[in-house]
Amino acid sequence: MPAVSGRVFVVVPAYNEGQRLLRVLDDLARTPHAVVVVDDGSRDDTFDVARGRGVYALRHTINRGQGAALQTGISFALREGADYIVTFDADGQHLAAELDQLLAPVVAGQCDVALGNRFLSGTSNVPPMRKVVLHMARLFTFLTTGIRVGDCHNGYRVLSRAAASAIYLKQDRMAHASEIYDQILRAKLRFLEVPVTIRYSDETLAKGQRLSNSLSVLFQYLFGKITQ
Amino acid sequence: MNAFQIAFTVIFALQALIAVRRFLGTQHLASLMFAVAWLAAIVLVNAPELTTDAARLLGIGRGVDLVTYALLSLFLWAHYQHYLRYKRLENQLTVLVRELAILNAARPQPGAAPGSHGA
Repeated sequence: MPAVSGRVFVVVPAYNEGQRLLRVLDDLARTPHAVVVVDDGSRDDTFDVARGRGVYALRHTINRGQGAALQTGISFALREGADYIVTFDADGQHLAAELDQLLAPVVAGQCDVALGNRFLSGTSNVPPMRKVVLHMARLFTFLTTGIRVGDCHNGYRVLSRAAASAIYLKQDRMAHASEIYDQILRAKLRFLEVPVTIRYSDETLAKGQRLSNSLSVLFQYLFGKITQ
Repeated sequence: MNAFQIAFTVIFALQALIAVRRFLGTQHLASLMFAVAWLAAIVLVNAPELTTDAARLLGIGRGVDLVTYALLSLFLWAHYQHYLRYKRLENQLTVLVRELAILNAARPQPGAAPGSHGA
């Protein structure tokens, strides 16, 4: 892959991630990139963990949701002069080792946005029920936005500076994952899907999105669409 | 005049008085509209047959039905307005929280954690 000449900022939105965040930051420390942790008003030591690891640490005074935290990190990175912005989950599902693969097409100018796709690689251990939810989300995203993506709730993404500037997430809670496609489409950004591995563990499964709350996310998204 | 009419006329009249006073103090049109609404309520409590006349005019059987429909529409409208305002406030709150977070960002200190980022 081509050498990255610009400044890369990895944005990690974190809510009550404490010890898991520690492992994620250790993993990211193997990359040469700047890391921005946005603590979304956690009640645990998430903010102190981030500060102790010598990364940019931002704190929402009140919990505003993952979409809000992502946007805060993106806005901050843009102001700091980021050329590329990576979004990375705080719970340890993503592998920092795969960052270069995701960065490559954006740096090479092949696309403005690179989206991680867990189904393209054979290495993710996606549980069957989770698969059903993800495929429903994918169908829904296609029906509402017309965008055909393989894995629409994957938090591993790379945005060029221009792409990040064109996007502004207003869905504060989980529906931002669908909203981002609306905005990619509206801003006519070129996107590519890149295979990534998702590491599922009992902890991440306990915290991730389930079938039971996918309806609530759907309503957030639809109401957000009507009222904005 | 029955007891119900007397009680409600007094209550509504007091409300109207409060609204008028507020309008004179603040010049807010909303207060004037509330005053008018309370006065209309006084009229309808004392002459309920007026609602029946109005209902007939609109092709609705009973005055009570007309009042119910009107209240329901008003309730839904007001509810929706509040929902929109609530959403706007939520977005504004997020922007505020975001700006605070960015202003107070803790920057990496050189040598804070061994093996962490230089650039």
